Amino acid sequence: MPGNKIEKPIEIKIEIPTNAYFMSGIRDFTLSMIKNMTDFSEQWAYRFQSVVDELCNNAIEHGSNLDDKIYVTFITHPNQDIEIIVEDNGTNPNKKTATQIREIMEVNKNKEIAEIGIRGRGLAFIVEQWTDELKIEDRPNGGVKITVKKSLNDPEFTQKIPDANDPTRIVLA
Amino acid sequence: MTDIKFQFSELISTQSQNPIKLIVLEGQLDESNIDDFAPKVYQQIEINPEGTNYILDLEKLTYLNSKSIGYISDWYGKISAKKGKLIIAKALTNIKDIFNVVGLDKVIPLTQTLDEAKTLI
Repeated sequence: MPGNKIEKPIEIKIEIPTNAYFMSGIRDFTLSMIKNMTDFSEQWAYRFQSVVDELCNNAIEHGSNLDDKIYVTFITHPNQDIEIIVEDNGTNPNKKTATQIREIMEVNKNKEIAEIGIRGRGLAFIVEQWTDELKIEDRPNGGVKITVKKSLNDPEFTQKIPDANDPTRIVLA
Repeated sequence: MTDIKFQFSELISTQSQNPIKLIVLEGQLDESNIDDFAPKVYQQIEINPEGTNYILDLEKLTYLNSKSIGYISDWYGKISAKKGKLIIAKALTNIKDIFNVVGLDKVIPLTQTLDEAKTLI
């Protein structure tokens, strides 16, 4: 609830088994956490929901193997920004290095929308365009760590209220 | 697996000579269910005659990921190749926001109502 907003920085770490089954729970958590613990608008709560989902899907597809884990960290600085870190263990046979991920993103960013395959829009469009900072690093254990940050001081912030009939609209008492 | 309900039906339109198939989605499309759902749409596109048009009713779809957008873009290509049209109708605000950030709204028309969608066919 807005009245319960936390004034001190807060860090939340979550370990998730590498199974897409758990992604809806992480999305629900992200939406609720952004709405209730930060000053970001509802529109941005939905956007972070997509950002986290795409980062986790990437970590599962190109990072940690089945029966392994990925790690999601949320760090909120009240009135400043939110930082989201997603890490994998690099145990997947299809694993990509930080350099390879950056190269794939660059290729997809320069393609026409219809030319991109089934995959390739998550990091290159959703994550990149909805964050201010995007850092992709190799982890010492062989995995990849992706850090994104969004500042509350971005002038593009305007609260858009979804339609009253929109079932995803949540009114906080 | 995340819950997704779908329904395929035929729409009657006085404005179009060609058939219009309505695809109604309810729930969320994500990594856990899109690969199972997508073949059902490909099958429809394959069995329906050339010139068949499609309206995707997303009024009750509350989430979709980038891979789902990839499939929608691919369906659009296959429908266009068979001389049909694909229109997205009644998408929620957060879904339209995702279409916008990936640029899909520049390729596939989005309408507020089914009637508007029918007039574009």
